[in-house]
Amino acid sequence: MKRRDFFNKSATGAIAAGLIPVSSQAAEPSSSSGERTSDQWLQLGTGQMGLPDRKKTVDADVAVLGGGLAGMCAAVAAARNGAKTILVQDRSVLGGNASSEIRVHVNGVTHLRPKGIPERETGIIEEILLHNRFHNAQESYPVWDHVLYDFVTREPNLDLMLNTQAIEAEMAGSTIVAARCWQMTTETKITIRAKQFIDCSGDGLLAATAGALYRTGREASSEFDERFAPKVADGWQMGASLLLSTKDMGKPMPYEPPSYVIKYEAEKSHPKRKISPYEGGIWWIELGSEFDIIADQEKNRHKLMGYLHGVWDYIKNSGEYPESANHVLDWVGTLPGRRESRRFIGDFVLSEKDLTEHRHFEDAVAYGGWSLDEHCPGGIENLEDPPSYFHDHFSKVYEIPFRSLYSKNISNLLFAGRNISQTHIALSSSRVMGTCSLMGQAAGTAAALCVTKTIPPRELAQQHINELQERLLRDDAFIPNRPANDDADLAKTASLIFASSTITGDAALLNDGVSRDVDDQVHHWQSDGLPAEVQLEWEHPVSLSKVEIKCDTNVKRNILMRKDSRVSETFTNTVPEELLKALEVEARVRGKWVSVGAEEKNRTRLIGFQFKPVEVTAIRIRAKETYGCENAKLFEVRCYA
Amino acid sequence: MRRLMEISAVMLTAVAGMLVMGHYPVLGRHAYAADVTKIHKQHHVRLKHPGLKTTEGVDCLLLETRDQTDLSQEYSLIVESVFCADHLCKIVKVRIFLDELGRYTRFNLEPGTELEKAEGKPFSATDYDQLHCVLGDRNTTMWDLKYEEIAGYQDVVAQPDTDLDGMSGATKLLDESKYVVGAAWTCYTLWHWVNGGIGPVIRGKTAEASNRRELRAYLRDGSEAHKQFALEQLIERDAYDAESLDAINQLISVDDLTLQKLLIKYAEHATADRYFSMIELFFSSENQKMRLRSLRSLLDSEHSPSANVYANLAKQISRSVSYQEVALFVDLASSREKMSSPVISELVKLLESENLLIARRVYWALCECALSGTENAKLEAFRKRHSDIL
Repeated sequence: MKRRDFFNKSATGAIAAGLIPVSSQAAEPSSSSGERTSDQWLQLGTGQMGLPDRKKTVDADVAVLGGGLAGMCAAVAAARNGAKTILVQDRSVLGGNASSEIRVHVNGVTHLRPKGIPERETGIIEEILLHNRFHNAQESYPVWDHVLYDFVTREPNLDLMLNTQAIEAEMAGSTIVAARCWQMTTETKITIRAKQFIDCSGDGLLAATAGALYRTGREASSEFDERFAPKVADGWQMGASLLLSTKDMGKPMPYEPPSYVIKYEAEKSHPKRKISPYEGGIWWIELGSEFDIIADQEKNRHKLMGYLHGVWDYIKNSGEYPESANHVLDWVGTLPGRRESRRFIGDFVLSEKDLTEHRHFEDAVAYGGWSLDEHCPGGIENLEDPPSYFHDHFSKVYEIPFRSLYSKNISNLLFAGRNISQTHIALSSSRVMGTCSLMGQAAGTAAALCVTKTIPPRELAQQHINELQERLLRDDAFIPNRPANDDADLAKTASLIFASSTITGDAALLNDGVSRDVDDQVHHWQSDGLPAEVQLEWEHPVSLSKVEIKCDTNVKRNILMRKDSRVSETFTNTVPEELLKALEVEARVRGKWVSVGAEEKNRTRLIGFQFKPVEVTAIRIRAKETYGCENAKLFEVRCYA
Repeated sequence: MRRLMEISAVMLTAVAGMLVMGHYPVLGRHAYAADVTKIHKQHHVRLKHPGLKTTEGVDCLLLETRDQTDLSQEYSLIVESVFCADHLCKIVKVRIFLDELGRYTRFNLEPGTELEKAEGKPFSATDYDQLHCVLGDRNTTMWDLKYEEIAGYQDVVAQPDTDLDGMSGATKLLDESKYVVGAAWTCYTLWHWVNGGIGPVIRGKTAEASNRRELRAYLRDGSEAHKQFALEQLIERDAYDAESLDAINQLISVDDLTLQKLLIKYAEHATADRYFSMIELFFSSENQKMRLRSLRSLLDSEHSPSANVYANLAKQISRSVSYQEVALFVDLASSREKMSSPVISELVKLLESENLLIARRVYWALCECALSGTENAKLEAFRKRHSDIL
């Protein structure tokens, strides 16, 4: 059956899977029951015989393919911005490389040189990480999976399909009209019709089948004037890693490797292949590919499992690590965490110097700052090389333009994550999940705007980029060198902003458009003790129905979950003590203060209050309690009609 | 391989013979040249340290020294350079110095000795400089780190590649500026001696030795830290004599937030009459933050201001151009008894303020008051004139 035929004959809307009677089976074309025509299903409950109906069609505004963190952020952003959204994930858990299946840390701008201070991501990814801190104090990876599930499924405008893979695009010219998916747990073929598609799957199968332009391998240095690229282009892609965790049993524990072990040749290894500390895994147990890394995945997975046990055998039995005597493998990965495969081509290809020279983009929507961490070709099969070259480290963040987040030749296809429009060298930095999540929020927000305006992403980039950026900033994304300037924000029209007490910063900075301290510039107000108040006064009354506040979560300290539960100046393993817990918002209406909102257990940096429109001459925000700090710190106050 | 060994408690006893003058090695800018000091007193103190096995602390000898003129006071303690987890470290005696307020000032070593880093490398001049900076930095997570957490750290810091996306490993516990690379244990050990319990002990000794005259001298001529110390002591001693009050009154326009808070605290510890007179005085400060603090203190006070206090403040408020001050005063005046006629009279003047926010704030407050006919007329006139902003 041709794809077009399949689509045209599909029922509109979801059809519950059920039994198609034998009587109708003969009259129906085979397509109506998927590819299945020969089932002989006798359902004893009804006594009927027929075919199982394993096919359905669903409609959405936005379809997001890939339930890693980039896809989750894209889906949540699209849903919150009014688009009916479907998130498709081919695994049984969300989180991709961060999930319990793989357990890579959610790094982003985790540390900048020289002081190692992060410029942590805010917006949806921060909400996710905070959600984890509130619900997973024990730092359990399986619980983290459920935290992510909760975060997505609680969104009212968002449907999640797990164990479902988008395998083929249905096209109308250069437009994707539907994604054909296979849900393996229900044996169901699902057709998702949507107006905008965001491929966050990493490998990008849907986008590839749509005919979107892409490339793999390493660009020649001459193509984008990249200092760290090879002189001649080649096919090498950074590898996938298999991680492990260990446990101290308190007594000597012998280890015997399995049959598929591949011996680790320590004597041939580059000195930068550090083994210790190994408790949370050894990232250079990694295999890449010079040609088709997707086709190689299963072969590489098997080899990686062998290499993992080979390294562990070396740790346990070589005598070089006697402190491992009591250690056992507590968890071993079976699903390698992938770094690289397809990179799709957009209207702009992000490359090395965009990052290293911190080039400014008028359409910047995200940022990164991980080092140029290009892993060596061949991975563990190239022991003589260092496992990564760490070409360069950043002292400040770089910008990522929106033009790298949509396809050059498919009109309604966006990307977020490692498959965006960028070179191999740019990917070596931008691939980390905190950064991918920012792309996700940007792509999801953009897709929702495209749906609202009935325009393709390219037109959004050309005609409405300011609106996209303002929306992202309002939703607590940070865009470097792009202060917010929302005309609808009535806080900017306030005659006076002041605070009851100030120990650092200034209440007047709360509407300066920058919602974090950055580039050595202060953009906050911090109280001197609690309770404390910030007040906005308008000379002429204004009609308000929303007050939005950005409080402090200390973006200079990482809150990601780590296997070693690190606590230091730049890492915490708890809810940030700076986070505002209890607050109240009052409005002055004809000379009297009235409460318009209160929160006793706030859990987010962006705190929104919505109320019936009232004419006010002042707003008073009373900060009452944090999660530990004696002062409250705010970065932004917005007011809307 | 490193083996974690049991850390034995060290009994730190200063040996007078160690203080050989003029024989200290010169190890760079911080050194450690001869100390032209003389021991003035010896204090037996008990100090705790997170690197000690015992939580009871150990007995130490704190030396109080004076310079040749007897004016400059300093304290010092001799400690071992490191609680060594692997028993491979070289341990030397380090003398740490603190000022009379318990703040770290410098360190020096026994003659002919030097500090050592990982793999037996001696400290360079830069390392000594760095150690000096580390010891003087109280804004560090050294506070929170346990000794067990920092043990093994020297292996970690030797690994330069911190961008490891796939695993936990080598992420720094501390910013490199917060320790000497290769000498984390030494930094940790000395930092906790310098910034642990010794500071409060020394402040206590200084407090014991200071009379009111000396405290007033601190208020008059000392640094902000000395002024804070003096204020804390005067509060502690309930010192409200005329000379002390006079010294304090000289400070009402300070800009330092801690000093401002201590001034308010000093007033709040006084009797009600004295409290109100001091607050009135503070409210005459040229510093607006101080004026606002004074009003907030009144707002939170359990004492009820007299009508006179309100009236006096109202006179000052009627000339204010600060919305915050006016709003706070109106909140204060409205929160207690009915506003008195003198207060109302002063506030009515503000209906003419060019600052419409001030005028409107007063307008709404006066709407709740019993006004005279003239005042009512002014209120009504304001309402008509500014109905668009109400």
